[in-house]
Amino acid sequence: MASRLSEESLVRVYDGGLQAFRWEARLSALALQSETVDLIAMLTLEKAKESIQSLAPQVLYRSLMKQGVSDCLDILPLMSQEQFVAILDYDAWADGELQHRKVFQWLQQFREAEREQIYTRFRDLEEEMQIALVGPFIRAVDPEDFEQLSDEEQDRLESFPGGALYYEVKSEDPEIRQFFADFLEVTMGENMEYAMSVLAHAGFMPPNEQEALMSQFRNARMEDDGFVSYEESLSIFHPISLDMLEKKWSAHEKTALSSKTKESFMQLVMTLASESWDPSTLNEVRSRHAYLANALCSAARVEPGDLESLDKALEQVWSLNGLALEWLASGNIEQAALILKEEHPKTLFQTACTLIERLRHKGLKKLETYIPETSVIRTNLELQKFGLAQKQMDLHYVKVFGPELTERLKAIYSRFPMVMSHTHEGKIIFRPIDSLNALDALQDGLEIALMKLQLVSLTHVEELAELDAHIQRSMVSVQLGGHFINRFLTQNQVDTWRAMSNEAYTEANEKLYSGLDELLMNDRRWSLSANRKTDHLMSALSELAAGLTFIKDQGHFDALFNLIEASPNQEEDSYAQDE
Amino acid sequence: MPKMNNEKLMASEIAELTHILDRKHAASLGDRFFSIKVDSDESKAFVTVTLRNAGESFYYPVEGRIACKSQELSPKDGAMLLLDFIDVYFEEFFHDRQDTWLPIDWAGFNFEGFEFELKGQVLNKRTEELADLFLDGKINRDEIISSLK
Repeated sequence: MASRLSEESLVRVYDGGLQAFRWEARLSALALQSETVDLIAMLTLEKAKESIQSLAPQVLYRSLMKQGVSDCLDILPLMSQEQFVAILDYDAWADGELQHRKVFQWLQQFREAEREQIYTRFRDLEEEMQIALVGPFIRAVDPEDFEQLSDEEQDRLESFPGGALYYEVKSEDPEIRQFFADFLEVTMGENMEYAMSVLAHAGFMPPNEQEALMSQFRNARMEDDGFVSYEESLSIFHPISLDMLEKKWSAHEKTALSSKTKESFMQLVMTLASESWDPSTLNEVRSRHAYLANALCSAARVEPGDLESLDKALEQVWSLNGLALEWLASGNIEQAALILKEEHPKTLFQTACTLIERLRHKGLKKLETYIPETSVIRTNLELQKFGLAQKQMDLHYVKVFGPELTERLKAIYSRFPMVMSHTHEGKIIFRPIDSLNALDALQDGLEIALMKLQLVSLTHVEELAELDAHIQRSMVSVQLGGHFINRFLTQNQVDTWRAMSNEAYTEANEKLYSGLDELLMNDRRWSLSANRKTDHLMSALSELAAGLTFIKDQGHFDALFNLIEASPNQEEDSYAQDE
Repeated sequence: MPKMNNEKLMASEIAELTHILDRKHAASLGDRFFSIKVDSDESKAFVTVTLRNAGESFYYPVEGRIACKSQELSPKDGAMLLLDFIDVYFEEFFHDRQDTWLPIDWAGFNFEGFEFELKGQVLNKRTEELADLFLDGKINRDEIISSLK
């Protein structure tokens, strides 16, 4: 039995990139503003019907879902048939297959709002849709064939007045049986001829053929909303040449403003835009972003009816475009607002992807020099097979970097790259790359991994594994007055180390940090760009040193024993060499 | 008559399934996480998938039970079927903005041609615990308020 909870399903989740990590949405208010309206309030408008019918179907759908369809029943009769069809396109399909029950649930809601609407809304659907909905559940029998059936079979069938047609509902599902009971009751009352016609047609037509046709119609309609094909969706993530864009926007005068504020850069730009732009321009920019988020859905494996994931896609679009704006405008908010107005969101999104990809590509190439298995990861990433790449990272990186740093690397190499924001109850919470600061943090994450690889490779170990333990062992060696070398310690050395006074330990640590800084500045293989300082590396190293201090202070000897699992000969040999 | 397969889910498999469940829904979990408990014998399987936070102020056990033997399922396959369906349920739960609920008492479901029962109810065990302490006279009103802050 194939399980949904399999490794393969996990690969799909990683491929999508929106679900597999815990991440905080910082731009929700901005991204989702204008995506919903207060439907109940709209009912009080003088021209409520016209106002509701003027809403974009996606906004209407989101609003209905947010406020609850059962609480908005009065809205349903007011919406146009086009809006209803669009809502079915979003909500009643999964993995390209029609979800009949969902359509029946919608129609039942219409019946609750106004009895005859279950008939009129159904009747006004495309003919193929009507047959696709009824066909799988109805068996129709004409009077001639009815006479040939056994008594038992005849008893199972319902009859139209005068025995003009016989039928049975083939499903045992009570919800489906109830739908047909309600639907036929109303439809027979409204239009007997139509009721007979739809059952007779549906009962004799091959249902899958109609559904396949409907799927094509639906795909065409969805493309108008931005829900493009998988291939087209993937192409949006491709890097572009930034030369022209840089040239175009560098011609403007720039006044670099600090973006190192708690508010995101995009938030600042949109605040300025909402104060100075006319509402139609603002709406245009917003709807273009929503359209782009829709276009990413296929690559992100998001169904149009999955509003939570759609919100996340929209959040990522606004975040990444914030990064692009900050970079193009060099942090100048007015300039950024101008760029936002003139450039298409897709161009901004691709700009951000390009900036990130440059770093990710450099990082991978360097990682590959230390860990050859990275080549498989690189190939998968180049093919946008993020799920397979991340599975490979789990396989090859956890033993090297440990679970936390591997997790950070996986988030960096996700379809929607993210960096660590903070930890909460032992779990890492990530954030989107919404600014140059966040891009710096992405670089930091890569360089920390590279720095650890470099430090451990300097100690000439046979295999690059358990880097943190190697580095900690080497740190103890330095604290004891030796070189930065990964060696096994004797019991005496451990005792000496534990007995070090606070003053001596602090002094030893100062020497350790300055020595490491020198080591890293002399050999900059860890660095992804010239002239980068080592502050972020030092803070990662000080975390490891703090771990050692904890062991030393608390006398957690069990943890320490992991460092000295050596035979006496090895201990003496390595120490003698160092001496 | 072929011999019935009595294979059960191993502890390591349950740990792996929990990990996958946590991953699949990671972005929607916030401070919550999943745990899975499976109890089965050759005739039936019980599964509880609990979504909760550390303080248990959100505690949502979704329980399932299935008659395995009568439906020619091994205990492992019975448990996996329940877990799959509960995964489908949580997918709906998160997609519908956490507003899709199960019956609070056992109710019948059908999935992939098999019949079973499920129930689930969101609890706030933290406030329940405080209420018990209050009723036992062990804490007062102010202590309740400060505990909930």
